[in-house]
Formats: sequence, C-alpha cells, structure tokens
Amino acid sequence: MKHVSDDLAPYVEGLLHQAQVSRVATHLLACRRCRRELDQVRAGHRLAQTLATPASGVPTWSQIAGCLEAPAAYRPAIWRITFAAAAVVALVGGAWLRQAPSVSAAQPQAVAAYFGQNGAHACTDCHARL
Amino acid sequence: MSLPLVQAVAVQPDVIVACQNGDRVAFRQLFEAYRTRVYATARHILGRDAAAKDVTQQVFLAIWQHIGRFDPAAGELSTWIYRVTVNACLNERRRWVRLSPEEPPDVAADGRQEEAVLARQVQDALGHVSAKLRVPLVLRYVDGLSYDEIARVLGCTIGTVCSRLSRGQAALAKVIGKP
Repeated sequence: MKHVSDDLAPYVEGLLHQAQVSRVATHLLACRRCRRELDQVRAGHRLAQTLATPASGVPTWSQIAGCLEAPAAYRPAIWRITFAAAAVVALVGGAWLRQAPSVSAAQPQAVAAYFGQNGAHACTDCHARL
Repeated sequence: MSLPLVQAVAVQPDVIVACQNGDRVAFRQLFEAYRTRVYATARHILGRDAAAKDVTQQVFLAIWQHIGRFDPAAGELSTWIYRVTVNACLNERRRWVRLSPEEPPDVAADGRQEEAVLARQVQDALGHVSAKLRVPLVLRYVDGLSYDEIARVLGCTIGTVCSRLSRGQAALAKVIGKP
C-alpha cells in the first residue's frame, strides 16, 4: 500500500485532479497513518495562512541607492581582504629585513672564526665556501 | 483562501531592458515593485528583522549588478528574483549555528488581538521548521506562488514541492501542538 503523504498538501488545497482526489480519498479510508497526517497537514495549512506580511521594516530606496553608489563599501570582497593582508605582510616583512644585519664582504672571516671557535660546524666544504 | 498576502506588481519588459542598460530610474521602479516581497520572504525565512534588511540590500545589489545576465526568454523576472532571494537567505542562514527568531513578526494591525498572537506563534514555530521545508512554506503562504512557480524558484520538481509543503505543514502543526 503506497502512502499518500506527499499529496496531502495539494489535496487539502483542492489542487488535485479528480482521479488523484479519488486515489487519495480511497487510500485515506484504509490508512490510519495517512489520516493522522492529513489532520496535521490541514492544521498546518490553517496556521500557515496566518503568516502576515511585515507591516514595517521594508528597506527604502534611499537605503538601497547608497549601496548602488559604492557596492564595494557595503561588503568588502574576499580578494580585497586578501590583498590588504598580503600588503601588510609584505610591508612588515620588508621593514624587518631592512632592520636585520646584512652580510658584508668583511664578515665571512668573522663567521668562519665563530664556527671555528665553537667547533659547531667544522665542515670543510662550507669553510671553503666562506 | 487568503493568498497571496504580498501584492504582486508587474514590471514592464521595457523597464527590465532599461535596468539592463544601467538606468537607475528604471531600477527604482523595479525596486519599488519587489522590495516588499523580497523583504517579506527574507523576514519569514530568516526570522530576524535586521538580517532580513541586510539580505534585501544584498539581493537588490546583486540584481543591479547581474540583471544584464537575466534572459526574459528563459523565465520570469519574479522567479529569478525569488531565486536570488532564497539563495541569499540560505547563505545568510549558513552563518548561524541555529536559527531562532529574535523578535516576533510585525503583524498587520487589524484590531484582532487573537489573530496577532496566533501569527506570532506561527512565525516562532516557523523558525523551528527546517529550512528545506520552511522555504516552500514561505513562498506559498507569504508570496502566494503556485506550486509550479515554487518548483522553478527552487529548481526542483512539482512532486518535491508537494512533498515538502505536506511535510512542512505537518511540521508546523506539530511544533505548535495542533491538532
């Protein structure tokens, strides 16, 4: 027995063709579960009809027109945020690099001396590169 | 039957063409024709006034930016606008963990206190019905769309609309405790 749950809304609203109405009605006579659902759908239909159009709060043209003037100002696009974040990272990174000590031509000896004194890195290849 | 609750105002084809050519005066006509419907739809789907206002702005901004893509031969303008509205509402709703109406709806003041109380109860109950079932209910009972129009807005079959409306109405009755 195929239940008629899916047809109950149009059945309640009287939107089914006569043949469909007969099929649903015949099923309802024999099916307690679908009769119970029909009661709920009828109640839901009555309740839903009370849904009202909001009497106030509808945006006006002046509120919308502002968005049309400068749509980007209303909700910033993701790419703008990403670009801004990347720019900040680049600026901070650049400033940090400028602050960091650079390796001048005179410093390799000092570095070699440092490694040699501590014995932390005695690789001959690296010393050769220095 | 008291449908539709939101009065439909037709927009002439020449207004649509003018909008597609960037005519702001024409777009204002379109806005005035649809603003109540868009807001009412968003208000009932989202259950929150502030969110509904935000979504209404988003919808008309999207319409303004993309109306050039609208093809009258492919479907009605109202269907397209409702689709944009529903999608914007669902996107907005995804940002929330759980939807709970923050305030009762503004019901039309017709002097019937009982009706106003019931309308508030129904609006609250609607917030407890899943979005999948709530959206067809709003399109049917607030916007007064036919089953066929709802199917076109949601991109589903009429059978699916019948099923969701049946389940949605039953769910609404269960939440309120009727019958």
